[in-house]
Amino acid sequence: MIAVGNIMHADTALVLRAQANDRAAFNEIVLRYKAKVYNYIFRMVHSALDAEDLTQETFVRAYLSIRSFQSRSSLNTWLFRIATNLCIDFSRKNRRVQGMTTSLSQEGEEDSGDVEREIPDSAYDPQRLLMNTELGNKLNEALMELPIKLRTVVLMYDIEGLPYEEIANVLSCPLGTVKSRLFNARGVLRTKLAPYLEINS
Amino acid sequence: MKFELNPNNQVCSEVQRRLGEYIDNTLSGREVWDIERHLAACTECNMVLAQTTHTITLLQHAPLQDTGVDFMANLHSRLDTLGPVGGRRTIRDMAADLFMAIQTHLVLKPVRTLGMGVAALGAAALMVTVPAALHTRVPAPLAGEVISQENLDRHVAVTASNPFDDPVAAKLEAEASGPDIGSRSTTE
Repeated sequence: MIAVGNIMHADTALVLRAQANDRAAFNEIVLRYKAKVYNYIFRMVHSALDAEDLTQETFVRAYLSIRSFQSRSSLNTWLFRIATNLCIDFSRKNRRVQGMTTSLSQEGEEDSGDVEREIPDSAYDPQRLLMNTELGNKLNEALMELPIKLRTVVLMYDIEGLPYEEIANVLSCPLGTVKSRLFNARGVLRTKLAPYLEINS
Repeated sequence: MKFELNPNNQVCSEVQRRLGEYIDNTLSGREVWDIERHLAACTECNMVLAQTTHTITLLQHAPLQDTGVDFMANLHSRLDTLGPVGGRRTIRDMAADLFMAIQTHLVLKPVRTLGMGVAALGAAALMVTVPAALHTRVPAPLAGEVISQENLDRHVAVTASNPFDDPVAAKLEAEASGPDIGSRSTTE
């Protein structure tokens, strides 16, 4: 809790310095948040190139509007809001993003039956499981198949670790909406990943 | 919320609806108790719980992606073209500032109105209490006195002269000063 408070305090100091034209302070903000923002955007658009461009655009917009940033939300929330809006615009403009996914239920080129789906070792180790490219791909595909409203919530909550309240703030929607979208998103992911998960019934 | 021990579809769907919150540990103790009682007797819900837990764990352990090595250099090249932090002011920025100023004005207006109201009340209270306090010590001028003093003031104001060097002013001053207190009391 103290650590979070310190981060918030440091963020505030950086923002105040950046608002006073301190380029080094803005640079520090970028270094602090670029991985988080990029990771989130990458999972939203599922393209390293587009994610890099959109992350740059996020920080350019933050740079241009840092003076209008107020303490009504955290810096983290503010950056996620910019990134989310950019991703939504991007997915609207780019049909490829929404239509690029391959259904998990279909037998794709990479899934011709030769690929081992079952996890051989019974010891459950998520990191080892994700080293399995197949499962990692299926997870990314399942995420990309989610409607963007559900995807934003599950990425922010389960991957980025934002609390419900911050997500509601980013998306400007009620807390109940965040919870129901998270429930729906997890349900869809569970159904799609179930054949690849190692569950002993 | 209470979940029956004998599961049926309706109860299962309700339990499954809350499993995410159960995993996130955001339910009350009573809700956790009810869910666990149901889970103890329901294979289907246990399966959903296991799958949901694994899905969430996979998400949480998804490898972090990071930007390319040129990211910062490319970003700074772009920022260099934009000028200082905050960018150049555009008409849109100025419109936004104007909007904020109007908003601030609208928010502050009631506060300012209230302040003015309080000030007016204070002034009114002073007007009532101070002259009243003065009246207790100084006798009120008579009607004739007031008119004479007004005539003198008007004359001095119009001619901008010193009443001590001006015969008209001297006359008006004499009228304004009126009879002494003793004679005033007799006329009353």
